[in-house]
Amino acid sequence: MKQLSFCIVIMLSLSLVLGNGCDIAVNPLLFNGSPLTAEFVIDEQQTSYQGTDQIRLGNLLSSISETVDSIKVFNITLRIEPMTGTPENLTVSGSIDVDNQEMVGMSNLPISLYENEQSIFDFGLAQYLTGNPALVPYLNSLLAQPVLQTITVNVTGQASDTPVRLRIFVTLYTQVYTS
Amino acid sequence: MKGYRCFRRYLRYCTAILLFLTLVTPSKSQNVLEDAIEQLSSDAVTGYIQPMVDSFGANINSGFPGSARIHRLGLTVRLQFIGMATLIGNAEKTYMATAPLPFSQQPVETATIFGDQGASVNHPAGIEYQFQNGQINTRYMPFAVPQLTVGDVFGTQLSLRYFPGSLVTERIEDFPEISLFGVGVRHSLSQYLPLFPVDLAVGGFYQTFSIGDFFDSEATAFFARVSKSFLLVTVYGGLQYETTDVTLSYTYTGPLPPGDQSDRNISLALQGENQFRATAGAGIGLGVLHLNADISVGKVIVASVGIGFGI
Repeated sequence: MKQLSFCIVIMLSLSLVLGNGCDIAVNPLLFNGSPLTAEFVIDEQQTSYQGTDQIRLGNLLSSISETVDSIKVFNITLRIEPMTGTPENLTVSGSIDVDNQEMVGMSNLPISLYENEQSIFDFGLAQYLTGNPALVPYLNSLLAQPVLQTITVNVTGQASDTPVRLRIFVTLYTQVYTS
Repeated sequence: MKGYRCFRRYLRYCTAILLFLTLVTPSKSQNVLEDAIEQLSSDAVTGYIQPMVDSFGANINSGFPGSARIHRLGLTVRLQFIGMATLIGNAEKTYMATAPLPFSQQPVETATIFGDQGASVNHPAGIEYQFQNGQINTRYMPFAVPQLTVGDVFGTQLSLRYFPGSLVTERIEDFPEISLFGVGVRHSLSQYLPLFPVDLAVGGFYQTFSIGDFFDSEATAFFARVSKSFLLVTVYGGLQYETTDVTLSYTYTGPLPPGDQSDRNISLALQGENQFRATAGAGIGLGVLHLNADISVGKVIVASVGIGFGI
């Protein structure tokens, strides 16, 4: 039994020597917040359209169990999916607002450009769509509050043709800084 | 019989403690690793984790029996506990990465898993993206394995590495199952070369190691060894060719490029970059106690120490 105890002491010593000086989790982990999407289903026989949806900001933390230090928006994207019957060359104008602050303005935007998800901050499409940079500090200030609130997203505008049968997705991407 | 069972239980506890302390201390480390990687796309994770794959591959392909002295017919039964450590330098602490759109697609230097703070990139619209921070601050990456060597038959020895994963998970809730299996053979060339002044042997080793469903690896090594014994001390050296294949399986939680509907369940194959090494070391035999230490130089530098019991 003495020999076994001796062996255990040696093995534990080896382990402790190897483990010494190897610090794990030295920097806070960064997490991607769960993407938050507002979805609008537009089905109009007239050219004007309108939709409202709400986003619960707290849902972005649904998969994060660490202690949160801060949260920042790093992208907002738009996707416009035409449904059956929508003219192929349809263009839309109008805006998407968050809590009555303009998030993005659209001017004769061909919906085909946004059939795939794209950032509203893509300057290559500035002639059709302009993201409002002032919205980022506003959203970040909401995300800095102790209790994350619900925001209201509105989409309003005018289409070039009828019928206007679209599904519009606005998605908010965030990074979560843990402590 | 009772003594044997007691001995076995002690060995299992010791093995568990050894692997646990050196590889995954604290238990949070596994979660940290998985959490860090899940934020990265398959492109980004390669650079972030590659230094760890390299150090893991170099470690697991270390610690094979050092002495080339194998009798044509004899009895060797030796249980060893081997600790290895790969040096981590500045080159292992950064890599070039590209931020997701709409940020600039110009690569920037940022932290690997062994690095410090992740780099930040800014966009004219006022948004900012930060790359994952480094998570392990160390000058070396440790690893440990138990190894049983038996022989000698026709100048050949068989070595086994084994760790039953259920041992840890039974005792620590929510801990991923660790599994290690390795088998290797060494064959004496000296037996065919009478009066040759040193001992020569060649061998190969195949190993598998996994952590939960997240980390799967296979390692293969072929080596040639030369050794010379002086009373209690044996000095040895050799050359080795090795490969390490690691598969990481995880669910990516970050953003995808516009229009990319890729599956978020990623299974990523990585290869250790260390392929050749030269090894030099020494061992001492004190009855049933055997101690050895060696250093290997290849793309990375690995040191290993072994404590063995047996004949």
